[in-house]
Amino acid sequence: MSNDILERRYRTLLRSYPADYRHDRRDELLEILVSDVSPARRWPEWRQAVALIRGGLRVRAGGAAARPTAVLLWQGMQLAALAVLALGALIGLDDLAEAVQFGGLGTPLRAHGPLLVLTSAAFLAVLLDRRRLAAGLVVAAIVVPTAISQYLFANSMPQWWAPVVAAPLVIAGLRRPADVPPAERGNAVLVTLGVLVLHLLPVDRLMLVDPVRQVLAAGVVVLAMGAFLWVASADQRMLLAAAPTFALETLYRGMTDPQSLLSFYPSVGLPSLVAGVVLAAIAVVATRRRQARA
Amino acid sequence: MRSSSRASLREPSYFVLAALLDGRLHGYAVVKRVEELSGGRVKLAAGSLYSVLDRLLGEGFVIADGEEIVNGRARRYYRLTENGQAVLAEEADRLAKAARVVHERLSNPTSPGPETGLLPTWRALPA
Repeated sequence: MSNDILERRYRTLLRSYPADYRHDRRDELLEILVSDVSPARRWPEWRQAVALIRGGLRVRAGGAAARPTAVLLWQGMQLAALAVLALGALIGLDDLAEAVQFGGLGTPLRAHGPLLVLTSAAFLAVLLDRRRLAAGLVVAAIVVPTAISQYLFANSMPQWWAPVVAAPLVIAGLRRPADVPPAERGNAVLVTLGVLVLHLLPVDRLMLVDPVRQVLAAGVVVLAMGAFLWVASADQRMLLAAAPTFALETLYRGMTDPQSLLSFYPSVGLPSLVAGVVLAAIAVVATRRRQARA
Repeated sequence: MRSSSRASLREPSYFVLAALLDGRLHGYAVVKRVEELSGGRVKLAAGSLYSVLDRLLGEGFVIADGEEIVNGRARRYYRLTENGQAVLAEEADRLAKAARVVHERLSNPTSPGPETGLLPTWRALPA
């Protein structure tokens, strides 16, 4: 068949939808996608491809569920817990590597190891939807490392705040209604990676004197933010997932250097707080708008 | 029974409901009918159509009504519900009233304008 290649490519794009939805609607979608198409056409139409990706994101965010807002809220909380724990683990790993480089293995492992292990374990438990285990681990991630070493707690390190910020989200998740499924694992990992990318953006390089590097950094930041917001405009769980991650740096700054919260320099002070609040506000407004019109 | 809680329908939803006024249709036929009814202005991509249909199904304005196999593919039909028909009629009334405000003033330039107390036309249009 002349359109076999085109159909195969559309089938690949249909993978943006969850498996059960894809199984249910694949034939209907394909009929529209390959009907009236020139036999010579080999590649999907741009507008169809974009609409399929956005459609898949929307369905994953609960757009086709019986209670879309409930799915958005509960899965958003689960993804927020995952993102906060992942960011805490990433910062912890980075600090551990740096400490090992300059101070040997023993002391850094004692200071960073327990929190890193428990935060990572809590992340896995949330990902696998072992909710009671996750709640236990997240509480242990607050208590045990603090009992073993006061270093992270005394310095109000961002990774110490990760289980503290995640705890209410994980504990609230114990009350998730039975008709709301957990976030699909592969999708949850992708959302978490998307949120981590936001924190790896070279925002501090916007302050560089070299205009070329400044422009390059600005380009990367604008492109990444644009991509994030484009995805988030179809899947508002991204905004809910990202919002509390900005609290880690804000809490760290607030406890160690409260004055920095009132300034845009260093770039992680006030901007972190503003970014978190703005993302949460956009999520609420977008959800209300979605509910208001059919 | 007309719903008064809904502010307005988005244009694609409006035309999808309008397309189903003549009877049940499958997805591909809905796309074609919407394009025809909108004079070619609304061209629904497959992903967009099912976003609209999922919302309309969720609101109870449309229901799935039978399925058949054509060329080895399952084809599902959709039908307008009474509630969907009422909401569509309400929206059409609202748009007609909003259009009338403009047409009356265009055809009768001496009618009072916004500065004499009448609401500007944009305030009368759907949010």
